[in-house]
Amino acid sequence: MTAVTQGATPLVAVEGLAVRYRGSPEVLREIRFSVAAGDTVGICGESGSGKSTLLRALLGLVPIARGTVRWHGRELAGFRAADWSRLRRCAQLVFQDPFASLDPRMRIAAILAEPLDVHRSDLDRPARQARVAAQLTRVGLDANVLTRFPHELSGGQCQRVGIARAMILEPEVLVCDEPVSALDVSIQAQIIGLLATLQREAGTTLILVSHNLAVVRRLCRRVIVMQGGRIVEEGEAKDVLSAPRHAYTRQLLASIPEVPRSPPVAQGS
Amino acid sequence: MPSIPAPLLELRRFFVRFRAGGDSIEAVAGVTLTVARGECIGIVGESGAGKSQLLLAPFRLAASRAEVGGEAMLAGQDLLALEERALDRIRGAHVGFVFQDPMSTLTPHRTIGAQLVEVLEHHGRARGASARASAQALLARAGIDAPARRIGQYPHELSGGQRQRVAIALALACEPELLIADEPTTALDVTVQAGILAMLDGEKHTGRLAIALVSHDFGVVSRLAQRVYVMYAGRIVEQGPTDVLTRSPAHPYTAALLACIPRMDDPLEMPLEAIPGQPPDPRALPTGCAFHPRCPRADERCRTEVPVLAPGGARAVACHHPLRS
Ligand SMILES: Nc1ncnc2c1ncn2[C@@H]1O[C@H](COP(=O)(O)OP(=O)(O)OP(=O)(O)O)[C@@H](O)[C@H]1O
Ligand code: SF4
Ligand SMILES: [Mg+2]
Repeated sequence: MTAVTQGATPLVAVEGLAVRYRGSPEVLREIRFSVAAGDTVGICGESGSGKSTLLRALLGLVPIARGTVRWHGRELAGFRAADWSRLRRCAQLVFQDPFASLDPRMRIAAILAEPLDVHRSDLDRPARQARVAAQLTRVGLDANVLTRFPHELSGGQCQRVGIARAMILEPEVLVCDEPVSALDVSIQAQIIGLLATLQREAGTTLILVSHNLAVVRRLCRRVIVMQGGRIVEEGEAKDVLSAPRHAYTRQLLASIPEVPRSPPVAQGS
Repeated sequence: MPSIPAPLLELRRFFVRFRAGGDSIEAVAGVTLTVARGECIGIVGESGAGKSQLLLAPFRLAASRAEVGGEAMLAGQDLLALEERALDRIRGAHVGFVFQDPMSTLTPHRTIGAQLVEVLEHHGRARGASARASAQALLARAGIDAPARRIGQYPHELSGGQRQRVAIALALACEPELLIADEPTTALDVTVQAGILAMLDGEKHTGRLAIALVSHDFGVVSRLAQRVYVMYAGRIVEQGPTDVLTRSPAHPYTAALLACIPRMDDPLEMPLEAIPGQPPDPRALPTGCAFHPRCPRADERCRTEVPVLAPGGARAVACHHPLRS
């Protein structure tokens, strides 16, 4: 990517996108939006509204029925092998299920080194190991997890590994599909904090799917609301979430069960 | 003078132990809990805290190799002494169960109508045409649209939210006195969840149904429950009226659980107050107060002495240094 193409061209731009799975009606229709480099975008909406499908379409993992997806102005349809390889490197994924997303037969050290082995053969072994160690520290894991297998870790630790693996290539964009919804509430807050810190420090673009609006509000500047395969509302999170225009967004906001706020007390003695 | 009615469900010093390899795991360590008729209680805590074991083991729905003890009474009957046949009558007829995954109570290859009719007939509530009519009425009551058509459908033809409504209809078919709902909305999206919580709230307001609601989400519990039990590592660490606990928690864990939930009115410049560390491994519980490795107030006493649940006003709290007394 040259500096010239980066300026005004969005990192990723979607136009008139429609997707259908084999034998199904269209699950995405007339999707149009773009994400600027360094921006943070949350996608929310009801179950089955097409959020995960949209992420797959962005990454070229489902066939596109109509419309275009462009990365740095270049259309996915015209991608060659080198473009795919670059996309696989610059866009990294974090999934909902922390266990299922890690290879159960591999030790954590190998899981973390794998992306470097594939994409950074220019680095020698000690350099790769140093990166693994540094990444581990950044996500708040102890070096003793390196020799363990995924099933020997807790859900929160696995999700930290998943995030470390995704960030190890210093991707331009981190794509997260419900990264905290399978975790305990106390662990959710840790992972949300971690994602916020990593995003801020590295300036990584963040595209995050979450049905939890409070999570989106924490991590994203912009929000896209989906219903029935369409985008029904889009805008800055602070506007959409405080003054929603679409009836569905209002319903979504009204559905959040929140506890009355308790007055702060001093923790620690 | 009216006497205080006996609770519907009463657990005293109730415990559930497992043997896993050479380890002995105490999933529930001496819990005392009551549910009055028509009351909704909530049980909150992280995964592995023992919430499900606490409510399922009294009805022998816990893992088969569990050792269960203490006292468990339902409407004055000793559940632990009952024979399997008697317990079967209680499960379904007097106590209904709903789980996170509706398919754990629904059968995939039978129509919804057939499953409802079967429950009604099994417990001798209705037969034939009258059972079919009741089945349809139950679906309507559970908020299922077009019940006449749904009755002939299979579970896979319904959305996740509709399936959960059917599972609730099935649990309520015999008009039980108690509904045990274990994370009933955790797998659902928030608008569907709101619908189901409203429906359960409606059932509660008939005054005939008591609900014991298990959830890791304080928001869900506070929507329905009048009283909350907060559970950590197999023990109740705080209990009391929902609004007392949510507005002024006394146990550091209760406070931490409330503070770590992202909210729509959080000041964004403040980071979320995450609870450090993770829930303890039940095979290697910390000494003293099990929460001490994660607690900002922990001191030497906390590391050595198990705090007991001590009543104070409307609440009870198990902590050496509560935030309020
Ligand atoms: N592999 C597939 N084959 C066929 N249909 C699919 C497939 N994956 C998803 N769908 C359908 O596409 C639609 C959109 O699904 P998608 O998974 O994108 O929704 P979502 O918004 O991510 O939902 P959730 O919040 O439940 O994860 C749904 O109707 C779903 O049933
Ligand atoms: S007993 Fe001590 S460690 Fe346990 S919650 Fe109270 S202050 Fe914290
Ligand atoms: Mg999805």
